[in-house]
Amino acid sequence: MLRPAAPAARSALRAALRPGAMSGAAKPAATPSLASPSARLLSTAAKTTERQPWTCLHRPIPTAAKTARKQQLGGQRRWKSQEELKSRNKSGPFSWRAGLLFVGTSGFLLWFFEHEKERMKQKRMAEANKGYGKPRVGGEFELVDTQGNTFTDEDLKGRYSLVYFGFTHCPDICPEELDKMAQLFDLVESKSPRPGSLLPVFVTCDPARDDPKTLRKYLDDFHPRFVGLTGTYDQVKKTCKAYRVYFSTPEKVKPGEDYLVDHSIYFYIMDPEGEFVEVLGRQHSPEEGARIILGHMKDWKGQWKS
Amino acid sequence: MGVLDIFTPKSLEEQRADSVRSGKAVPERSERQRCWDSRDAYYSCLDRSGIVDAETEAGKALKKCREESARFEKECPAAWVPYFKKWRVADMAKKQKIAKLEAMGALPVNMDSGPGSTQKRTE
Repeated sequence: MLRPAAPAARSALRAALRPGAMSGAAKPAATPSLASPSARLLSTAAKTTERQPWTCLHRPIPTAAKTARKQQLGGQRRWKSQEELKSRNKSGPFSWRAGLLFVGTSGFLLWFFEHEKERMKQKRMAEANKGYGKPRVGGEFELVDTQGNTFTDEDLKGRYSLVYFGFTHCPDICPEELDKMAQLFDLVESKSPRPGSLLPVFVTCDPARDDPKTLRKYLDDFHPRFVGLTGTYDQVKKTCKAYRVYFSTPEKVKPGEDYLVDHSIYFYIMDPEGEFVEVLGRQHSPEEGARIILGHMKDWKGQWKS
Repeated sequence: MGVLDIFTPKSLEEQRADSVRSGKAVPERSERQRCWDSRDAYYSCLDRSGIVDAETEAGKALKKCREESARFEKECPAAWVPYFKKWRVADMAKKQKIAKLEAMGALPVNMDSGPGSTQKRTE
Protein backbone atom coordinates (compact mmCIF):
# COMPACT_ATOMS: atom_id res chain seq x y z
CA MET A 1 0.00 0.00 0.00
CA LEU A 2 1.18 3.46 -0.81
CA ARG A 3 1.09 5.97 1.93
CA PRO A 4 0.62 9.63 1.11
CA ALA A 5 3.92 11.00 2.25
CA ALA A 6 4.05 14.65 1.40
CA PRO A 7 1.98 17.05 3.48
CA ALA A 8 0.70 18.65 0.30
CA ALA A 9 -0.61 15.33 -0.87
CA ARG A 10 -2.20 14.73 2.48
CA SER A 11 -3.98 18.07 2.45
CA ALA A 12 -5.12 17.37 -1.08
CA LEU A 13 -6.54 14.14 0.13
CA ARG A 14 -8.33 15.86 2.93
CA ALA A 15 -9.69 18.43 0.54
CA ALA A 16 -10.94 15.64 -1.64
CA LEU A 17 -12.67 14.04 1.30
CA ARG A 18 -14.34 17.23 2.41
CA PRO A 19 -18.05 17.34 1.63
CA GLY A 20 -18.83 18.73 -1.75
CA ALA A 21 -15.21 18.83 -2.76
CA MET A 22 -15.68 16.17 -5.37
CA SER A 23 -19.11 17.37 -6.32
CA GLY A 24 -19.81 18.62 -9.78
CA ALA A 25 -16.71 19.50 -11.78
CA ALA A 26 -14.57 20.31 -8.76
CA LYS A 27 -11.34 18.41 -8.62
CA PRO A 28 -8.69 17.97 -5.95
CA ALA A 29 -6.79 21.21 -5.49
CA ALA A 30 -3.33 19.80 -5.90
CA THR A 31 -2.24 17.86 -9.01
CA PRO A 32 -4.91 19.19 -11.31
CA SER A 33 -3.44 17.56 -14.36
CA LEU A 34 -3.55 14.16 -12.75
CA ALA A 35 -7.06 14.62 -11.50
CA SER A 36 -9.01 12.77 -14.11
CA PRO A 37 -6.77 9.75 -14.65
CA SER A 38 -6.20 9.39 -10.93
CA ALA A 39 -9.93 9.57 -10.31
CA ARG A 40 -10.35 6.76 -12.78
CA LEU A 41 -7.60 4.82 -11.13
CA LEU A 42 -9.16 5.40 -7.76
CA SER A 43 -12.45 4.01 -8.88
CA THR A 44 -10.85 0.86 -10.16
CA ALA A 45 -8.73 0.61 -7.05
CA ALA A 46 -11.85 0.94 -4.98
CA LYS A 47 -13.39 -2.10 -6.60
CA THR A 48 -10.47 -4.33 -5.87
CA THR A 49 -9.60 -3.16 -2.41
CA GLU A 50 -13.06 -2.62 -1.01
CA ARG A 51 -12.76 -5.14 1.76
CA GLN A 52 -9.35 -4.07 2.99
CA PRO A 53 -9.25 -2.84 6.56
CA TRP A 54 -8.93 0.90 7.16
CA THR A 55 -5.25 1.17 7.83
CA CYS A 56 -3.88 3.30 5.10
CA LEU A 57 -4.42 6.84 6.20
CA HIS A 58 -2.68 8.41 9.11
CA ARG A 59 -5.81 9.64 10.68
CA PRO A 60 -9.34 8.50 10.36
CA ILE A 61 -11.79 10.84 8.81
CA PRO A 62 -13.93 12.01 11.66
CA THR A 63 -16.49 13.60 9.42
CA ALA A 64 -17.25 10.53 7.36
CA ALA A 65 -20.72 10.08 8.77
CA LYS A 66 -21.44 13.79 8.56
CA THR A 67 -20.27 13.84 4.98
CA ALA A 68 -22.69 11.17 3.91
CA ARG A 69 -25.50 12.98 5.67
CA LYS A 70 -24.61 16.31 4.14
CA GLN A 71 -24.43 14.81 0.73
CA GLN A 72 -27.83 13.35 1.18
CA LEU A 73 -29.04 16.75 2.22
CA GLY A 74 -27.43 18.44 -0.72
CA GLY A 75 -28.98 15.91 -3.02
CA GLN A 76 -25.59 15.17 -4.53
CA ARG A 77 -25.08 11.69 -3.38
CA ARG A 78 -22.10 10.07 -5.05
CA TRP A 79 -21.23 7.12 -2.96
CA LYS A 80 -23.51 4.22 -2.38
CA SER A 81 -22.21 3.58 1.10
CA GLN A 82 -19.74 4.71 3.68
CA GLU A 83 -17.67 1.67 2.84
CA GLU A 84 -17.34 2.74 -0.74
CA LEU A 85 -16.39 6.28 0.21
CA LYS A 86 -13.78 4.98 2.58
CA SER A 87 -12.26 2.57 0.18
CA ARG A 88 -12.32 5.03 -2.67
CA ASN A 89 -10.28 7.53 -0.76
CA LYS A 90 -8.18 5.07 1.10
CA SER A 91 -5.03 5.37 -0.94
CA GLY A 92 -5.52 8.91 -2.21
CA PRO A 93 -4.13 9.57 -5.69
CA PHE A 94 -1.48 6.95 -5.06
CA SER A 95 -1.80 3.33 -6.02
CA TRP A 96 0.52 0.71 -7.35
CA ARG A 97 -0.82 1.36 -10.84
CA ALA A 98 -0.15 5.08 -10.58
CA GLY A 99 3.30 4.32 -9.23
CA LEU A 100 4.01 1.92 -12.04
CA LEU A 101 2.75 4.42 -14.60
CA PHE A 102 4.91 7.13 -13.08
CA VAL A 103 8.06 5.02 -12.99
CA GLY A 104 7.39 3.65 -16.47
CA THR A 105 6.80 7.09 -17.98
CA SER A 106 9.83 8.59 -16.27
CA GLY A 107 11.98 5.72 -17.41
CA PHE A 108 10.79 6.02 -20.97
CA LEU A 109 11.28 9.79 -21.04
CA LEU A 110 14.73 9.46 -19.56
CA TRP A 111 15.67 6.84 -22.12
CA PHE A 112 14.16 8.90 -24.93
CA PHE A 113 15.99 12.10 -24.01
CA GLU A 114 19.30 10.32 -23.55
CA HIS A 115 18.81 8.54 -26.86
CA GLU A 116 17.94 11.77 -28.64
CA LYS A 117 20.86 13.57 -27.06
CA GLU A 118 23.27 10.90 -28.28
CA ARG A 119 21.71 10.92 -31.73
CA MET A 120 21.98 14.70 -32.01
CA LYS A 121 25.58 14.56 -30.85
CA GLN A 122 26.45 12.02 -33.52
CA LYS A 123 24.66 14.03 -36.14
CA ARG A 124 26.51 17.17 -35.12
CA MET A 125 29.84 15.32 -35.25
CA ALA A 126 29.06 13.99 -38.70
CA GLU A 127 28.11 17.48 -39.86
CA ALA A 128 31.27 18.95 -38.42
CA ASN A 129 33.42 16.35 -40.13
CA LYS A 130 31.63 16.46 -43.42
CA GLY A 131 32.46 20.01 -44.29
CA TYR A 132 31.11 21.42 -47.46
CA GLY A 133 31.99 20.24 -50.90
CA LYS A 134 34.74 17.83 -51.72
CA PRO A 135 38.39 18.78 -51.37
CA ARG A 136 39.82 19.24 -54.82
CA VAL A 137 42.85 17.06 -54.36
CA GLY A 138 44.24 15.07 -57.23
CA GLY A 139 43.44 15.35 -60.88
CA GLU A 140 45.19 15.07 -64.17
CA PHE A 141 48.91 14.53 -64.36
CA GLU A 142 51.44 12.94 -66.66
CA LEU A 143 54.64 11.47 -65.32
CA VAL A 144 57.11 8.68 -66.08
CA ASP A 145 57.31 5.43 -64.13
CA THR A 146 60.51 3.58 -63.23
CA GLN A 147 60.42 1.58 -66.48
CA GLY A 148 60.39 4.83 -68.40
CA ASN A 149 56.75 4.48 -69.48
CA THR A 150 54.27 7.32 -69.37
CA PHE A 151 52.04 7.16 -66.30
CA THR A 152 48.96 9.34 -65.99
CA ASP A 153 46.10 9.75 -63.55
CA GLU A 154 44.16 7.27 -65.72
CA ASP A 155 46.60 4.55 -64.65
CA LEU A 156 45.59 5.07 -61.04
CA LYS A 157 41.96 4.22 -61.72
CA GLY A 158 40.24 0.91 -61.07
CA ARG A 159 41.80 0.42 -57.62
CA TYR A 160 42.61 2.42 -54.56
CA SER A 161 45.91 4.21 -54.55
CA LEU A 162 48.09 5.54 -51.80
CA VAL A 163 50.11 8.47 -53.08
CA TYR A 164 53.15 9.78 -51.27
CA PHE A 165 55.49 12.59 -52.25
CA GLY A 166 59.15 12.64 -51.33
CA PHE A 167 62.70 12.52 -52.66
CA THR A 168 65.47 9.98 -52.55
CA HIS A 169 67.94 12.22 -50.73
CA CYS A 170 65.46 12.68 -47.90
CA PRO A 171 67.28 12.60 -44.52
CA ASP A 172 64.79 11.07 -42.12
CA ILE A 173 61.06 11.46 -42.64
CA CYS A 174 60.58 9.90 -46.08
CA PRO A 175 62.50 6.70 -45.28
CA GLU A 176 60.51 6.26 -42.09
CA GLU A 177 57.26 6.92 -43.88
CA LEU A 178 58.14 4.62 -46.75
CA ASP A 179 58.87 1.81 -44.31
CA LYS A 180 55.46 2.47 -42.82
CA MET A 181 53.92 2.47 -46.29
CA ALA A 182 55.49 -0.91 -47.03
CA GLN A 183 54.06 -2.41 -43.84
CA LEU A 184 50.68 -0.87 -44.54
CA PHE A 185 50.71 -2.17 -48.11
CA ASP A 186 51.55 -5.71 -47.00
CA LEU A 187 48.79 -5.58 -44.39
CA VAL A 188 46.22 -4.44 -46.93
CA GLU A 189 47.38 -7.03 -49.45
CA SER A 190 47.13 -9.86 -46.93
CA LYS A 191 43.73 -8.82 -45.60
CA SER A 192 42.02 -7.54 -48.71
CA PRO A 193 39.66 -9.99 -50.43
CA ARG A 194 40.95 -8.63 -53.73
CA PRO A 195 44.75 -8.62 -54.05
CA GLY A 196 46.15 -5.78 -56.08
CA SER A 197 43.34 -3.43 -55.03
CA LEU A 198 45.82 -0.93 -53.60
CA LEU A 199 48.48 0.79 -55.67
CA PRO A 200 51.33 2.29 -53.65
CA VAL A 201 52.72 5.30 -55.49
CA PHE A 202 55.78 7.41 -54.72
CA VAL A 203 56.09 10.69 -56.59
CA THR A 204 59.42 12.45 -56.40
CA CYS A 205 59.56 16.17 -55.75
CA ASP A 206 63.16 16.20 -56.91
CA PRO A 207 63.08 15.20 -60.60
CA ALA A 208 66.48 16.72 -61.30
CA ARG A 209 68.21 13.98 -59.28
CA ASP A 210 65.59 11.24 -59.19
CA ASP A 211 65.58 9.63 -62.62
CA PRO A 212 63.62 6.37 -63.16
CA LYS A 213 66.66 4.21 -62.44
CA THR A 214 67.58 6.00 -59.23
CA LEU A 215 63.99 5.85 -58.08
CA ARG A 216 63.73 2.11 -58.75
CA LYS A 217 66.86 1.38 -56.79
CA TYR A 218 65.70 3.56 -53.92
CA LEU A 219 62.19 2.11 -53.77
CA ASP A 220 63.42 -1.50 -53.90
CA ASP A 221 64.95 -0.77 -50.50
CA PHE A 222 61.40 -0.46 -49.19
CA HIS A 223 59.10 -2.54 -51.37
CA PRO A 224 59.61 -3.91 -54.89
CA ARG A 225 55.98 -3.22 -55.74
CA PHE A 226 56.13 0.51 -55.06
CA VAL A 227 55.44 2.52 -58.19
CA GLY A 228 57.91 5.37 -58.56
CA LEU A 229 57.00 8.41 -60.64
CA THR A 230 59.18 11.19 -61.92
CA GLY A 231 59.17 13.57 -64.88
CA THR A 232 60.27 17.01 -65.88
CA TYR A 233 60.27 19.79 -63.34
CA ASP A 234 57.06 21.19 -64.79
CA GLN A 235 55.30 17.84 -64.84
CA VAL A 236 56.19 17.25 -61.20
CA LYS A 237 55.19 20.78 -60.29
CA LYS A 238 51.82 20.30 -61.95
CA THR A 239 51.26 17.02 -60.09
CA CYS A 240 52.24 18.54 -56.77
CA LYS A 241 49.89 21.40 -57.42
CA ALA A 242 47.02 19.03 -58.21
CA TYR A 243 47.61 17.19 -54.94
CA ARG A 244 48.06 20.45 -53.03
CA VAL A 245 51.57 19.38 -52.12
CA TYR A 246 54.01 22.04 -51.10
CA PHE A 247 57.58 21.46 -52.18
CA SER A 248 60.66 23.61 -52.29
CA THR A 249 62.89 22.04 -54.93
CA PRO A 250 65.12 24.65 -56.51
CA GLU A 251 64.35 24.80 -60.21
CA LYS A 252 67.88 25.41 -61.42
CA VAL A 253 70.60 23.52 -59.66
CA LYS A 254 74.23 23.51 -60.60
CA PRO A 255 75.47 19.99 -61.35
CA GLY A 256 76.75 18.25 -58.26
CA GLU A 257 75.18 20.72 -55.87
CA ASP A 258 73.56 19.08 -52.87
CA TYR A 259 70.32 20.34 -51.40
CA LEU A 260 67.33 19.21 -49.41
CA VAL A 261 63.69 19.42 -50.43
CA ASP A 262 61.02 20.55 -48.05
CA HIS A 263 57.69 18.95 -48.85
CA SER A 264 54.31 17.91 -47.48
CA ILE A 265 54.35 14.50 -45.82
CA TYR A 266 50.84 13.13 -46.16
CA PHE A 267 49.68 9.92 -47.75
CA TYR A 268 46.78 10.60 -50.08
CA ILE A 269 44.16 7.87 -50.37
CA MET A 270 42.48 8.02 -53.79
CA ASP A 271 39.48 5.92 -54.75
CA PRO A 272 39.20 3.78 -57.92
CA GLU A 273 37.72 6.73 -59.80
CA GLY A 274 40.70 8.88 -58.95
CA GLU A 275 38.78 10.95 -56.41
CA PHE A 276 40.43 12.03 -53.20
CA VAL A 277 39.21 10.09 -50.14
CA GLU A 278 41.33 11.23 -47.23
CA VAL A 279 44.86 11.67 -45.96
CA LEU A 280 46.95 9.62 -43.59
CA GLY A 281 49.52 11.43 -41.53
CA ARG A 282 52.47 10.72 -39.28
CA GLN A 283 50.08 9.94 -36.42
CA HIS A 284 48.69 6.85 -38.13
CA SER A 285 50.36 3.53 -37.51
CA PRO A 286 50.54 1.06 -40.43
CA GLU A 287 47.78 -0.97 -38.73
CA GLU A 288 45.49 2.04 -38.41
CA GLY A 289 46.18 3.11 -41.97
CA ALA A 290 45.47 -0.39 -43.28
CA ARG A 291 42.23 -0.53 -41.30
CA ILE A 292 41.09 2.80 -42.74
CA ILE A 293 41.90 1.76 -46.31
CA LEU A 294 40.27 -1.66 -45.94
CA GLY A 295 37.20 0.07 -44.53
CA HIS A 296 36.98 2.32 -47.58
CA MET A 297 37.47 -0.66 -49.89
CA LYS A 298 34.61 -2.49 -48.20
CA ASP A 299 32.35 0.52 -48.69
CA TRP A 300 33.28 0.94 -52.36
CA LYS A 301 30.28 0.35 -54.59
CA GLY A 302 31.84 1.33 -57.91
CA GLN A 303 33.92 -0.46 -60.50
CA TRP A 304 37.16 -2.32 -59.92
CA LYS A 305 39.81 -2.99 -62.46
CA SER A 306 39.52 -6.64 -63.42
CA MET B 1 104.94 4.65 -50.38
CA GLY B 2 104.31 8.01 -48.73
CA VAL B 3 104.31 10.41 -51.67
CA LEU B 4 102.71 7.82 -53.91
CA ASP B 5 99.59 7.76 -51.72
CA ILE B 6 97.93 10.54 -53.67
CA PHE B 7 98.34 8.56 -56.84
CA THR B 8 96.88 5.31 -55.56
CA PRO B 9 93.22 5.14 -56.50
CA LYS B 10 90.70 5.19 -53.68
CA SER B 11 89.02 1.95 -52.82
CA LEU B 12 85.46 1.39 -54.03
CA GLU B 13 84.16 1.82 -50.51
CA GLU B 14 85.86 5.14 -50.13
CA GLN B 15 84.56 6.29 -53.50
CA ARG B 16 81.07 5.29 -52.52
CA ALA B 17 81.35 7.10 -49.15
CA ASP B 18 82.56 10.20 -50.96
CA SER B 19 79.69 10.26 -53.39
CA VAL B 20 77.16 9.72 -50.60
CA ARG B 21 78.71 12.56 -48.63
CA SER B 22 78.70 14.90 -51.57
CA GLY B 23 75.10 14.06 -52.43
CA LYS B 24 75.97 12.48 -55.75
CA ALA B 25 74.70 9.05 -54.67
CA VAL B 26 71.52 8.24 -52.81
CA PRO B 27 72.25 6.65 -49.42
CA GLU B 28 71.09 3.08 -49.09
CA ARG B 29 69.32 1.66 -46.08
CA SER B 30 72.53 0.58 -44.32
CA GLU B 31 74.19 3.90 -45.07
CA ARG B 32 71.21 5.81 -43.72
CA GLN B 33 71.32 3.69 -40.58
CA ARG B 34 75.04 4.37 -40.08
CA CYS B 35 74.39 8.08 -40.49
CA TRP B 36 71.52 8.04 -38.00
CA ASP B 37 73.62 6.11 -35.48
CA SER B 38 76.44 8.62 -35.72
CA ARG B 39 73.91 11.44 -35.43
CA ASP B 40 72.42 9.95 -32.26
CA ALA B 41 75.89 9.57 -30.75
CA TYR B 42 76.58 13.21 -31.62
CA TYR B 43 73.26 14.28 -30.07
CA SER B 44 74.00 12.47 -26.82
CA CYS B 45 77.41 14.11 -26.64
CA LEU B 46 75.75 17.49 -27.10
CA ASP B 47 73.30 16.54 -24.35
CA ARG B 48 76.16 15.66 -22.03
CA SER B 49 77.89 18.95 -22.80
CA GLY B 50 74.73 21.01 -22.37
CA ILE B 51 74.70 22.23 -25.94
CA VAL B 52 71.39 22.77 -27.69
CA ASP B 53 72.36 24.51 -30.90
CA ALA B 54 75.50 23.04 -32.41
CA GLU B 55 75.56 25.81 -35.01
CA THR B 56 75.57 28.86 -32.75
CA GLU B 57 77.82 27.07 -30.28
CA ALA B 58 79.97 25.55 -33.01
CA GLY B 59 83.28 26.18 -31.22
CA LYS B 60 82.15 24.57 -27.97
CA ALA B 61 80.51 21.67 -29.82
CA LEU B 62 83.69 20.94 -31.75
CA LYS B 63 85.82 21.08 -28.62
CA LYS B 64 83.57 18.88 -26.51
CA CYS B 65 82.46 16.43 -29.19
CA ARG B 66 85.37 16.34 -31.61
CA GLU B 67 85.24 12.61 -32.18
CA GLU B 68 81.45 12.35 -32.49
CA SER B 69 81.34 15.36 -34.76
CA ALA B 70 83.97 13.89 -37.09
CA ARG B 71 82.11 10.60 -37.30
CA PHE B 72 78.79 12.36 -37.85
CA GLU B 73 80.21 14.36 -40.73
CA LYS B 74 81.89 11.31 -42.19
CA GLU B 75 78.83 9.07 -42.17
CA CYS B 76 76.16 11.55 -43.23
CA PRO B 77 75.70 13.40 -46.51
CA ALA B 78 76.99 16.95 -46.14
CA ALA B 79 73.51 18.41 -46.72
CA TRP B 80 72.05 16.39 -43.86
CA VAL B 81 74.49 17.64 -41.22
CA PRO B 82 73.12 21.20 -40.84
CA TYR B 83 69.62 19.82 -41.24
CA PHE B 84 70.03 17.47 -38.29
CA LYS B 85 71.65 20.23 -36.22
CA LYS B 86 68.69 22.54 -36.87
CA TRP B 87 66.21 19.73 -36.34
CA ARG B 88 67.60 19.15 -32.84
CA VAL B 89 67.01 22.78 -31.90
CA ALA B 90 63.47 22.75 -33.26
CA ASP B 91 62.67 19.42 -31.64
CA MET B 92 63.94 20.53 -28.25
CA ALA B 93 61.97 23.76 -28.48
CA LYS B 94 58.88 21.76 -29.35
CA LYS B 95 59.37 19.38 -26.43
CA GLN B 96 59.93 22.29 -24.06
CA LYS B 97 56.81 24.00 -25.26
CA ILE B 98 54.74 20.86 -24.77
CA ALA B 99 56.18 20.32 -21.29
CA LYS B 100 55.37 23.92 -20.39
CA LEU B 101 51.83 23.62 -21.67
CA GLU B 102 51.32 20.36 -19.84
CA ALA B 103 52.61 21.95 -16.64
CA MET B 104 49.96 24.63 -17.11
CA GLY B 105 47.36 21.88 -17.31
CA ALA B 106 46.82 21.83 -21.06
CA LEU B 107 45.20 18.73 -22.47
CA PRO B 108 46.16 17.25 -25.83
CA VAL B 109 43.56 17.86 -28.51
CA ASN B 110 42.18 14.77 -30.12
CA MET B 111 43.26 15.33 -33.70
CA ASP B 112 41.32 12.27 -34.75
CA SER B 113 38.19 14.15 -35.60
CA GLY B 114 39.65 15.85 -38.64
CA PRO B 115 40.86 14.43 -41.93
CA GLY B 116 42.34 11.00 -41.56
CA SER B 117 40.14 10.25 -38.63
CA THR B 118 40.48 6.80 -37.17
CA GLN B 119 36.90 6.96 -36.02
CA LYS B 120 34.21 5.55 -38.23
CA ARG B 121 32.45 8.42 -39.86
CA THR B 122 28.91 8.51 -41.12
CA GLU B 123 29.01 9.60 -44.70
